[in-house]
Amino acid sequence: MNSIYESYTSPNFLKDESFLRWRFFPTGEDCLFWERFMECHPDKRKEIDEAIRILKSLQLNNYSFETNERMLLFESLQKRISEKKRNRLKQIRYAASVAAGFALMIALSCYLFLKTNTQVDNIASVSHQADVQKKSEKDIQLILTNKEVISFAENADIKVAPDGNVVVSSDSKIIAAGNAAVSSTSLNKLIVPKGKRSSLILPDGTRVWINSGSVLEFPDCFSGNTREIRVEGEIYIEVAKNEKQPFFVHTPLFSVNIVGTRFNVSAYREDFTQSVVLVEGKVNVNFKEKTVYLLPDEKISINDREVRKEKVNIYDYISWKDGLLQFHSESLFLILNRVSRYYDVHIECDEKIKQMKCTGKLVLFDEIEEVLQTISKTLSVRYKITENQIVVYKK
Amino acid sequence: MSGDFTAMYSDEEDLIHSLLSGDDMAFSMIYSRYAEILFAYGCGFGFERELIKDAIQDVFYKLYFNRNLLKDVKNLRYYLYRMLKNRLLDINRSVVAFDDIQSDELTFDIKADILDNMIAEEEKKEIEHKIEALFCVLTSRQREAIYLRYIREMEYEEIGKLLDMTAPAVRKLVARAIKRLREINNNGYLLFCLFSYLFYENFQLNGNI
Repeated sequence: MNSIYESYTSPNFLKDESFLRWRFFPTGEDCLFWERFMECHPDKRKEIDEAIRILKSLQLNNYSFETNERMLLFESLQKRISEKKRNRLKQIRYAASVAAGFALMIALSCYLFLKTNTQVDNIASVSHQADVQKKSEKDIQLILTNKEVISFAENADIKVAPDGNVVVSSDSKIIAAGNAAVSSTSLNKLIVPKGKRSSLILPDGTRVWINSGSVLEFPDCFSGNTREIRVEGEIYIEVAKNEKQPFFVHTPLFSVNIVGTRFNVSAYREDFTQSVVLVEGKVNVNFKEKTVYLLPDEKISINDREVRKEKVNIYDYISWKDGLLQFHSESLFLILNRVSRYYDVHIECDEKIKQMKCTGKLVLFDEIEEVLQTISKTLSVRYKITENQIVVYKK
Repeated sequence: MSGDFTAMYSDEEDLIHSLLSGDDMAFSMIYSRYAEILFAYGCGFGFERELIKDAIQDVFYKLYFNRNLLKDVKNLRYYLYRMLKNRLLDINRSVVAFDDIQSDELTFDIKADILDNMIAEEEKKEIEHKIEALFCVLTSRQREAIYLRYIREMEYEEIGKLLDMTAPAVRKLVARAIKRLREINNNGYLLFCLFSYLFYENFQLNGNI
């Protein structure tokens, strides 16, 4: 039967109208014919399957973006939008600044590389001493100057009174209490592991929010001419105003002298670049022998090579305090880093999508899966949860 | 625990609503969902890639600062297609003015692509040409209507608005186009089915754009 078909290869089939008809509309004569043909010529099955496979790849007007083209186009669109916005905002901001008080925010991200810096040694060595840390790595720990250790699992609020009394509460319920012997030489230490958050009221009334994976060191009372604390990780702080006792935040790489009342510090070991972001007020950043002044809405980035100052959207840097992450044209890689730190899960990100730029808000739900769902909904990515890590990959 | 989660798109109206309430995330979502589809549509008119990209940027720029335009919009896709086409028409007019050519219409073309790479390049071209040649017997409007109907699965209503004609007129236009294809090629029926088939394939593809 129909000997010409016996010599056909897949391209020949593809050019045969009867064959195509059968593929696109499997009824009637053609259908009967081809079904019989395959029965009689099982050896042709392979060629036919191949032709079917090729035909499935037919597309009309299949124009698409090249790699990165969509992203680059969006970036330039965002740039155009923010330029226009900035022009609009200038007038509004001028009016607002008249009424502006002293509120200020700093975000610092640190990477430990300056061995010569004494503060590095201080914080590093204290971390080594704290072998208690290993006992319950998942709990928040407060190590008082009298070596008393208070640990708790919940995201708690801590209050240190001027007399050294410490009260730890969660949802307004007191869950722990202690008393730090007043000592001017040693420091209390608060360790907030990954996946936890905490807040603290210092003896002078200063409020501090401590983000995941951070260590904060503070004295029982601020008795000297200055108020000083140390941080490795990220904090947001509202400093009680006291012009006679300036406030200093020391991080492994540099220190910040706060002239205003509010700021945020982030100094994570694993982050390469440090940054300080100021909401309102004034701040001096001391790095090596240099002092840099920062004005509202400005961000200063410091790494081993350079110091750079730029205008930013401040809320992007303090949104974690309100249980969400906000970002503008941030790479997916850095966003996943923040999510990973917050939930204490290892997240692996496919190289191809690391540099995808994202803008928007991410609510930090109780379950990381809800966060991942939001990400995959918005970007063309998928994720897979395995036993000990999450993999995010291109769709 | 292990799992594979497919992105679920929220309702279009929700998206418009979020955008109207100032949510920039909704804006990025709309962009990621439509930028490439708009690009493919624009390419059908034969403009340069860069020019189409600029036009798409203009569309989204306008959308960002004039969100209120979307207040009564129920069909975002049609609205974006319309915005892009208007932009392209404007661009075309400015070009035409220089070239002094009397034409205010855009020409829509169909390009066939066999994506499979196992088949020899020559064979591939031959099959692609065969399909493209079929569409050449249609008018530009017929091609555009067929593209929107069968590849983009648009309603006759939406196509009508894009082609400045009524929905019944689009039906007639499409029917005539298919009849024409049938006359030229006695396998017009086949083509009709081909469209249905392509539409199905594209439906899956759209989800990935």
